Amino acid sequence: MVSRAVTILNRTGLHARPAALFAQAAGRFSSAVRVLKGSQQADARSVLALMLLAAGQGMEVTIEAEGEDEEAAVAALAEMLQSDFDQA
Amino acid sequence: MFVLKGIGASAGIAAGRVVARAADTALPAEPPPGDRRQEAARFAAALAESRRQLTEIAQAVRRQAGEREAQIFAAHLAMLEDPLLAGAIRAYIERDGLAAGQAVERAVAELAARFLALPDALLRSRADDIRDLGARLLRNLRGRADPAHAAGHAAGAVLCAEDTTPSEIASLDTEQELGVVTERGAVNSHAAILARALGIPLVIGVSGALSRLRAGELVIVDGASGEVLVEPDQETLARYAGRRQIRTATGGDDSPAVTLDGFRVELAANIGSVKEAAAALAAGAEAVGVLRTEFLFLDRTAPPSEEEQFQAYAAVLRALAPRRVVIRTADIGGDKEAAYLALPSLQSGLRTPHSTFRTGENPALGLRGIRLSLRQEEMFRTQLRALLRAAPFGNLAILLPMVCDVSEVRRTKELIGSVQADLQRFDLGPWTSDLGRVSVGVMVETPAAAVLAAELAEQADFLSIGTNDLTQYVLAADRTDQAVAEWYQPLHPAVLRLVATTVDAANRAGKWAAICGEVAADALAAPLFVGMGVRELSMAPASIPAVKQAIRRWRKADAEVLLSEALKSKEAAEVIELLSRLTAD
Repeated sequence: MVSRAVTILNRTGLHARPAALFAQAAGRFSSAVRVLKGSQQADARSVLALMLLAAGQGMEVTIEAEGEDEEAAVAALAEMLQSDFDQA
Repeated sequence: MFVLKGIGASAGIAAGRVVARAADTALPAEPPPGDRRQEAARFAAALAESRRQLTEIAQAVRRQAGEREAQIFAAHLAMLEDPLLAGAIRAYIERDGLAAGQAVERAVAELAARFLALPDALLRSRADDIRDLGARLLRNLRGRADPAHAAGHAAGAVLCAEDTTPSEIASLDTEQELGVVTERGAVNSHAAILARALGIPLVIGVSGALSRLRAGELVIVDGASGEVLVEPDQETLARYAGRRQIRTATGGDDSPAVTLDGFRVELAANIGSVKEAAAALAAGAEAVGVLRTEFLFLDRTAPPSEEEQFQAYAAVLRALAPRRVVIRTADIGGDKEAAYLALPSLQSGLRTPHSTFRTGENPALGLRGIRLSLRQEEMFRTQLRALLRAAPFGNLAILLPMVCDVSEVRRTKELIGSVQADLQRFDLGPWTSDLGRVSVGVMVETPAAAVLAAELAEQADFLSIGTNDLTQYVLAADRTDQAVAEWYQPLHPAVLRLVATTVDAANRAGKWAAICGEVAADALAAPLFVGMGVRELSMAPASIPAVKQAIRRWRKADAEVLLSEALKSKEAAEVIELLSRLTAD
């Protein structure tokens, strides 16, 4: 299992549209991916669970992946949260 | 008169009669629950139908508002299939034995409550999206149509409801439903974002709106101030009408051109470069009727790359979104030469012994427009790829120049299909894979196309009549030749009759017709086109205000009488005399 703590830099955090893009990106990996914030955790492929984390800009979350492509998944998703991926 | 105060959520003014939509509680009773397997199957069917509806809405919104707004429904689709929604509903059915409808209600209520407990207002408003999805699932479980479609509102309505949803706003027929007033809602809700993108005036937070407004009452909705003026007096009506007048005087009038009896003509701009998009907007253009793409192809030594074209198209589409931009595929040839196409190496492949690329004496009758594009297939595919890639950035329609019959349209559509398939193969996923269907129009500028307008209208999504070329072909008068200038008469009855039958053919086929030649800018001729039932006049941006004024002076019914008179004329002079006489008094 690979995990990495990330500070969310995306301006709108993980709201509807960014959460959807994030979940979609997570779905491209075969590994099971979770996002943890404090005591809460969310399946990274669940848009609703991601939004319920209420993870806004500046907050720290941890991305955890387990599976064949866990390294790549964590790297790609962490990078996503640290960019303005919603503004493309 | 009295005034209800709410919050302006989408600017704009609408005056219309109240249509109340009661809360969606009057659903027919659910059938008695079947066994778990049956209930699971009912839910699966409702889910599939909901998915289909949302995909359709996303496509319509992409066309009308743009990619960003369409993403709202892409997100709805993702929420619908989410383990916390569809997954929870399935568990309630299969594990707990609930009926499908009860399972939906419970899952939606629980999920909405979790969102409502969040500290962030924007996230709290996601509860509305979830309820919207829940209501859709319930309607589909019980076989009910969308309320917006079911209501069949009268023209000129102001919809009044407890609350509205993104899917309701997206399904409004903006020709009929002019504005929306709600008791609840949030300025940052997806419904409000969509209303702003679609230009639908929306006032939210009007407490007691449903009990204080009666169906059929006349109201003015001011989406900027958040006021709803009920049964306004003459003076107030005049003041609001006056506000439109003031905008006209400053030139930035973006209110529509509507005849006295309510027929609306879209006034669009013809532009020939990315820069002109700004001028079109400043002049109050509601759309771009023709973006000529020759600027990319001429005065250079090699054809433009896909990337260069893509950047140019995307820039125009983005600048004008959500307005429709009709982009005409390259109309090279005729009087517009591209040197690189005349290179012998290229030419040898497409030359017959007697014709060179620029057919010497008679280029207007030569290899130009769609003819050249279909001969130079690689160049054409590059242009189509660039267009389709740019499509998500705005509201694109593609126009084919110099068509003679349906074979050229069919061939182009095959190419578009093949280019689209190529693009999809490299695509990332459900967000962009479904490009929607880009509408394809035919330019009617050859007499053949005008005569075969009915057949073309079946194949095309719209017809755009290029009166400049049509005039020169019908009257056999080269428009660049001074010696025959007196024969070049766009208002000649021979031309007008062809234009009128073309518009008629489009209207009969349920397609829209536009005029995009110079005569569209002629305020004198405007009532003729109104009489024909033309839906769009596209012209140089500077002419828009004058044509708008001309249209507003007419009733469509009178314009039809005028047209029938004009069509009886034997020569152009008679038409012009008729028009001048009528406009003088």
